[in-house]
Amino acid sequence: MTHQQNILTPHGYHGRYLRIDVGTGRHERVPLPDHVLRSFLGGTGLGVYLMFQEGQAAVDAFDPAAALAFTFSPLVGSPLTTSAKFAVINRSPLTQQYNDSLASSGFAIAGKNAGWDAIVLTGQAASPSLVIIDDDQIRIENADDVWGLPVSVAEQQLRERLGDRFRCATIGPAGEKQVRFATISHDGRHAGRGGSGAILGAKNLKAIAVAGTQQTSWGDAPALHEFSKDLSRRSLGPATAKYRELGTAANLLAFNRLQTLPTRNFQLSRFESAVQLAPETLTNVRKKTRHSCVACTIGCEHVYELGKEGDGVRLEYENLFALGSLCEVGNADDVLQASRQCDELGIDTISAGGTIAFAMECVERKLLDQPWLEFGSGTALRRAIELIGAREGIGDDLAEGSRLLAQKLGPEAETFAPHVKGLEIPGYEPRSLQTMALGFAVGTRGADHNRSGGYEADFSDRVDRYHADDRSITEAIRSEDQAAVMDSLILCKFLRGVFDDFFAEAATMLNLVTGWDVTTDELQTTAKRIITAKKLFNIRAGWQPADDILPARFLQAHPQNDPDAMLSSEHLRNLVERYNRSRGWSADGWIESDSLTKLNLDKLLPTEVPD
Amino acid sequence: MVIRVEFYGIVRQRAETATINIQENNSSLTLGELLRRIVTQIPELAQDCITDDRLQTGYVANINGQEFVSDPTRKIESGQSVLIMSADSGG
Repeated sequence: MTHQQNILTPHGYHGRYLRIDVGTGRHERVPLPDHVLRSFLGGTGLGVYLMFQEGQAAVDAFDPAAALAFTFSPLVGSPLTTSAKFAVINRSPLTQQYNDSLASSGFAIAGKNAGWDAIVLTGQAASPSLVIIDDDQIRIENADDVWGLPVSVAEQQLRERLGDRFRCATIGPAGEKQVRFATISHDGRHAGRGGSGAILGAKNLKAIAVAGTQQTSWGDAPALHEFSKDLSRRSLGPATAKYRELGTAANLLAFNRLQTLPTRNFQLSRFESAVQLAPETLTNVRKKTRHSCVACTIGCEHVYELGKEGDGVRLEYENLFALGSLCEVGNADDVLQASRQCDELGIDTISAGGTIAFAMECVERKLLDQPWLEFGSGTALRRAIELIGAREGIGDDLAEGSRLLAQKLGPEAETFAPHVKGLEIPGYEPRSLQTMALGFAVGTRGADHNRSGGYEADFSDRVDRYHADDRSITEAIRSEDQAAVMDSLILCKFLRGVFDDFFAEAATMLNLVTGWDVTTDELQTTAKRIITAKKLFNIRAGWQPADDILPARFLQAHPQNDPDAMLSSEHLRNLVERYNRSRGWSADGWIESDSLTKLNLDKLLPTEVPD
Repeated sequence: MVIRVEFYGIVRQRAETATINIQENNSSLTLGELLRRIVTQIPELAQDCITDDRLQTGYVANINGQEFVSDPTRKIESGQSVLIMSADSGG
C-alpha cells in the first residue's frame, strides 16, 4: 500500500523518524519538517542533523546515552539504480568524532517501508537483544540464541526465526566485544568504517530487524521512471566496466606500478608479490561469481571460491591492500581467508590490516614483545584477527586501533601509527597522491577515501600528484562536496563516472522524487552545509587544528622505493590552511559565525551542546 | 623508436596481453598517434576503450608511472612506457 502522505511531507519521505530507547523499550515518533529534510536530504546529511538533535558531541561512544542512527533517503525504494542504500551515523569509538558509514541493500528498502526516514537507537539493553520494527509495531526480543555467532550464521538464524519479510543489520562477535572498528553487516556487505558495530554491541544489540508496507509516493512517477531507465542504461557503459568485470581489486597491479600501493606499514609503496593477489591472477585459478546489490545494475561484487565448493569471499581492493601488501602477506589463500575472517567477525578490514601492520612494525622495532607477529606471515595475520575478534591477549590491545595502541607503546610508536584522527589510512599512498593526502588530513571522519576522493584528481592530468598546489585544493573540495550529496541521497559512488554534471542530475533526481524545485546552486550549498555541520560536530566533540595532520612518518621521509614522494609538514599545513580559507573557515579550521549564518546552520542546529 | 605499452585491469583483459611494443621510424609519436597504433595491433580495444585518438571516459594514460596525460598532441619519446588503465578507484 502507499503511505498516506502528510500534506506537509514531501514525496519520497515519511516526515518522521523513530527513536527507541533499547533499555526501556520506549519509543517515539519524531517529526522531520520539510525544511530540515530539504536542508540535509537524507543519508549522512540527515544523520549529522540527528547527531546534533541527540546532543551526541558530548557523549562517549560507549555510553548508554550514545545514539546510533540508521538513515535512509528520499531515493530509497525508487527505480533509480544503486539507490537501495542506508547510512549508519554515530560518534565513533575509534576517533571520538563524527562517523558515518554506508551499506546496501534490502535493509534500506525494508527499513524505509516500515515508515521511517531514520531509526535512532539509544540506551542499553540489559541482556543480548534484538530490535524488531514491523511498520509501527516495535518490540525488543531476547537474542541469547544468536549472541556469539559469526555474522553469516546469525543472519541465517534470524531469517529462519523472523521470516523472509524481515531484513536484518547484524553485528559479529567483534561488535559484541566492542572492538573499536567493528562493523554492522547486512547480506554480506558492511557499514564498515569507524566502529558502529561496537556501539550496537555496547547496547547489547545483536541485530535490528525491519519490515514494512508503507511505500512513499513519488513527485513525478512517469518522469522518474524515464530518468531511471536512462540512468540504468548509462550505468552499463564503459565508466563502470571496471567494477563489473574485475571489481575494485583491479586497482592492485595498477597502483603497484604507480608506486601508490601501501606496503609494509607504509614503509614502501610497491609490493613484490602483488601479482599473486591480483584479480587477473586469481580469476585464472579460482572460481568466481558476480553479485549485485538489490536495485543495482552495476554488479560490482566479485566472490572468489574459498576452500570447499559454495564457500566464497567477496574481494575488494581495500581488503587486498590492508590484509595483503600492508602486512606484506603475498599468499592469496591467507589474504582471502583473513578477509573472510573479518567478514564473519564483523571487522573493518582497513583498520584491522592497518593496526596489525603497525603492530608488526612495532615488533620489528622491539617496541612490542610478540615475536610471532611478523611481516609476511599469513599465519600471524590470521591469528591476530582471531585474537582481535575475541579481544584475547594482544588482540585486546589491537582491538583498540592503531592510535590507542601507539599511545600505550610510547612516542616512537606514535610517529608511524597509520591513522588520521584515529581512523586507519586506506590504500592510497599519500606522499605520491597529495590531493588525497589533503583529503585524509582534513577528513571529518579521519583518513577517508570515500568522503574525499582526492585520488581521482591524482590519477589524472588535472593535478601534479607529487606536488599538491591550489588545483589540488579545488579538487579536494569538489570531491568532498560531491560525496556529501551522493552519500546523502544515497547513491553508489561507482556511478560517479556516469554523470556529465553530477549536481545538475542530482537536482533533477531529487525533484522528480520529492516534487521540490531544488536548483544546482541550492544542492551545492547543501553539500557545503552538510560538510560544515560535520566539522562543527567535531569541534564540539573536541577537535583541534593539530588533528588535521598526517602521522610523522609521512612528513619526514619518502617511501623507501620512491624518493620523489616527499610531503613536508610545512607544505601540508599550508595546504590545509588554504583549504580552510577556501571553505570559508579560519585558516586554523574554526568555523566562524557568519559561515553558520550563510548556511542557515545557526537556525537548523542547536547552538549549544545539551547537558 | 620503441614505445612500450602496458595494460592494466580490464584493458589487459580486452587486449589479452599485459604489454606490447610499438615500433616507429619517427623519433617520437603523439599520444593520439600511439593510441591509433595500439588499435591497429589490438582491434578489440577500439570498441569501448579507444576512439580515434583518445581514450574513452573511464580510462587514463600515464607515462612511465609518473605523469598522467590526456592531450592527444602530447609527445611520447622513444624508450618511454605508456600505461593504459581504468580511471577511478574506490572499494
